[in-house]
Amino acid sequence: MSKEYADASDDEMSPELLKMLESTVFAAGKFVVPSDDLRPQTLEAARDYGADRKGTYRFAQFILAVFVFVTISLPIFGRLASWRDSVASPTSLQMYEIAMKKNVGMDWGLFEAFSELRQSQASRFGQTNRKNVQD
Amino acid sequence: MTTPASFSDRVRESAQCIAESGAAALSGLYDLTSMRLVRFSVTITRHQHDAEDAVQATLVRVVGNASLLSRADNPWPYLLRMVRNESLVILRRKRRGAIVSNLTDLLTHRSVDEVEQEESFRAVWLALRSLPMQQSEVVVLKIWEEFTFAQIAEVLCIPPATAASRYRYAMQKLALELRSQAVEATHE
Repeated sequence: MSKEYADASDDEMSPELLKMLESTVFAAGKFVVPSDDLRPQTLEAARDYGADRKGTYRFAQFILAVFVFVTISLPIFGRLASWRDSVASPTSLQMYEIAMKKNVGMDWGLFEAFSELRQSQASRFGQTNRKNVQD
Repeated sequence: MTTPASFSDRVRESAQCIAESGAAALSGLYDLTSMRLVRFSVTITRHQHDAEDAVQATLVRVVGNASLLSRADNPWPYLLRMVRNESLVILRRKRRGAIVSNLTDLLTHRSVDEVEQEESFRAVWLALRSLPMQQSEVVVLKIWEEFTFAQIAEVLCIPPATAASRYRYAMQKLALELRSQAVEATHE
């Protein structure tokens, strides 16, 4: 075994000896190999890593979509809320308060309050109604 | 053996496949490089199991960003540097009290016509393990990867002159180590 190197000294190596040593080392290059388990383990780890990344990417996309939706919808809901005040009917409590202000008793007060409400609604939607009648 | 440049091109092609198809295409890069990467990593970690951990971690990282590898100027040296970094991390984390000085941790293979040479192979690997890591990795890159000193310097982030001197010292020590093994064998 390696008897060729019995002549090797501590001094500078000769080119021939160096070449021989290089070829000996080169030949031993494929002596060590990966274990049989390494391939399936690596591929499985890579698949898991890819799946995790995909999951994280989808979650990030979902969060981004929610953020965009909230950012866009908040001003829209604000605008709708301002319109609601002008088109919504009064609540029963508001009707009761209006009826009490009439100072003519509860029944007549409610009657007059509803009459005023109907008139205001008619004036608000009158234009649309007239158009419908003409059609 | 393929030249480093053509091997680099093949590594680049495999990395491009991974970038396009994801983890499913890793098998191509694995089959192309695993033996060489494990061989290189073993010289750093001095333990096959740790070397395989380093190679696995590196290849999984490649799946995470394959375009980084495919766009590298020299993908093969780049991949070797990744494995080296991963091996050094594992080496620091698992600092052992005693470095393995025999070959019991290694999984070896030799074809039928190489049976006679097995003793020689073992002697070479034992001699490599007797070298400091800084020298043995230069030997691996110079002889097995057929890198120039400039390419070795690129992988190891050292000047080419340093790589050359480390190689010279390593070869002298290897010759002496093999000589002492030959003397021991003669006495036995």
